Amino acid sequence: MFVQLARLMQKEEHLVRGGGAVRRAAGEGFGPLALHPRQVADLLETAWLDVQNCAIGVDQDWAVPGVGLPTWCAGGCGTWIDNAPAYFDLIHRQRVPGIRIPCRFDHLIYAYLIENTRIYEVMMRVLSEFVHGERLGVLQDPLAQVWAATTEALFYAPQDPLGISGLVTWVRPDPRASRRNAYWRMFGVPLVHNGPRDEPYPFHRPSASNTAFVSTLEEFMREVWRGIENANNQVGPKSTDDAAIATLAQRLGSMLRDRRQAGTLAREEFVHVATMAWFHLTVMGNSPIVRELRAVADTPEGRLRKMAQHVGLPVPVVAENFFELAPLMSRLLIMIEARAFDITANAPLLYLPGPIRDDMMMIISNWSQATGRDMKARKVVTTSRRPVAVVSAPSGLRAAATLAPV
Amino acid sequence: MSTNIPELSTEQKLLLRLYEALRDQLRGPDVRRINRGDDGQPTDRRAVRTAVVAEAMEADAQAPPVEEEA
Repeated sequence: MFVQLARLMQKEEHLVRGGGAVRRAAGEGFGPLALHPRQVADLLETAWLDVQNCAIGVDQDWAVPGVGLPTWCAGGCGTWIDNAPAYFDLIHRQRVPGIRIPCRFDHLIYAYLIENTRIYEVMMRVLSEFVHGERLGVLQDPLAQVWAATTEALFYAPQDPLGISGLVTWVRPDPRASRRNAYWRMFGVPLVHNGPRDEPYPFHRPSASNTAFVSTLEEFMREVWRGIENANNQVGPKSTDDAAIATLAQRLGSMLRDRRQAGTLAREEFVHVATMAWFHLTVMGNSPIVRELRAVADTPEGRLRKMAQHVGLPVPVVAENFFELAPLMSRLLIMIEARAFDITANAPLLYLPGPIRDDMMMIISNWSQATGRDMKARKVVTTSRRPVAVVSAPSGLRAAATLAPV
Repeated sequence: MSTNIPELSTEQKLLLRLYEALRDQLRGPDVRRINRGDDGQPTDRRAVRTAVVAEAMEADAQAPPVEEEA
C-alpha cells in the first residue's frame, strides 16, 4: 500500500502538503516515509475504506475482486474513518479506458516474500540502536528522525484494536506469530529464518492450511516453463499441456479462495502487506534513513545487507530473489485467484510472448534460485513395482524448510 | 510477436490488458529521481558523474607535469 502511495505522491508532488521536506521526499519517491505517524495511521484507515468501497460496490461485476471482506464489514465500516486526510485524494483508482480496475493492494505473498528477507528484524535492531544508545551515531536528518518515530510507533507497538491495524490483543499478543500464522494458513510454509535467537519461531499452525500450495505452485511453474520452451516449436513433438496448466491454476486459486471465505484473513492481509510495504519502500531507494546509516547501494538487497551489517544480523543469501519475486508473485496470485487462467484457452497467455510470460520467466528463474529447486527441469518421479503411498512432490512444510538457509 | 503465435481472442486480449493495468496499479515509485540540483529539480546522476569525471580529467590535463627526481 505504501509503495503504491509513494508512486502516487511522486506523480502528484505538486498536490502534496506538509512543507518543503515532505514535498521533496514525495518527489524522491519516499513521500509516505516523511509523514507524521498520525497521518500514516490515518492513511491506513483511509486505504482500508477505499478497499471496502471497491469490494462492496464499484467492481463487483468484474472478474477480479478487490478483497473479500469480513461479513461484519459488508454494510461498510466507514465510521472508522471520519477525518480522512487530504492524501485520500491521492489514493484514487487508476482507470484504463474500457476496463474497470478494482482498487487492489498487494497479495499476502508479497508480505511473505518481503519478510523472508529478514527486513523486519533488521529494522527493529536498527531502531533499538538509536533509542538505546549512540553506537550508530545520532540521526541528523529530520526525515530520518520522522521515519524512526513512525516506524517504532506504528510497526513495533500495539495499535488501537478498534483501528484497522490493531491486530495485537491478548488473544494474539505477538505480531510476528500472527503473520507467520497467516502465511501458514495461506501458503502452508513458515518463514525461512527463525526468530531473534535463531530458534524455531513458535506460532499457531492450524490444520486448515494450504500445505500443498508450494508443491502445486512448483508443478504449475514447471508446466508453464514447458510451454515457454515449446512456444516457438513449429515441427516435432510439443509437450505443452494447456489442460494441466489450467487445472493447476484452478487448484491454486481454489486453495487461496478457501482460506478467504467470508472475508477471513482480509484484514490481516491488508495490515501485513502494508507493514512489509513500509519496510520495502524504506530500502527501495536511498531513502533518508538509508543515507543516514551509510547504507547507500544499488539494490534493495544491498541496502538491507549494509544495514544488517551495522547491527550484526545475517540476511538470507537469496534476499535479492525475494525482493524480485514479491511484486511478481503478488500480481500472478491475484490473477490466479481471480480465475484468469482456469480455462485451457487462457493458459497460452502464460507462455506466449507478452507481459505475463516475461513475468513468469522472472518468477521461475528467481524461485529456482531462492529454493535451490530447478523449475526448468522436469520433475523426477520415482516408481516402484509395488504401489506405494509416497508421493515424490515435497510437502509444503518440507519445501519451506529448504527454501533458503540463512 | 513470432509469426506462429496464434491471434489472441477477445477474452485473452482483455486479460492481457487487465494484467497490465494491475501491474501499473501495483507499481512503486521511481526512486532513481533522488538527486536534485540547487533549484530543486531532479538531476541525472549519471550526467553529474560524467561531468565530474570530465572536469577531473581536464584538471589533470592542465596540471603542470610532475618532475621526476633525478
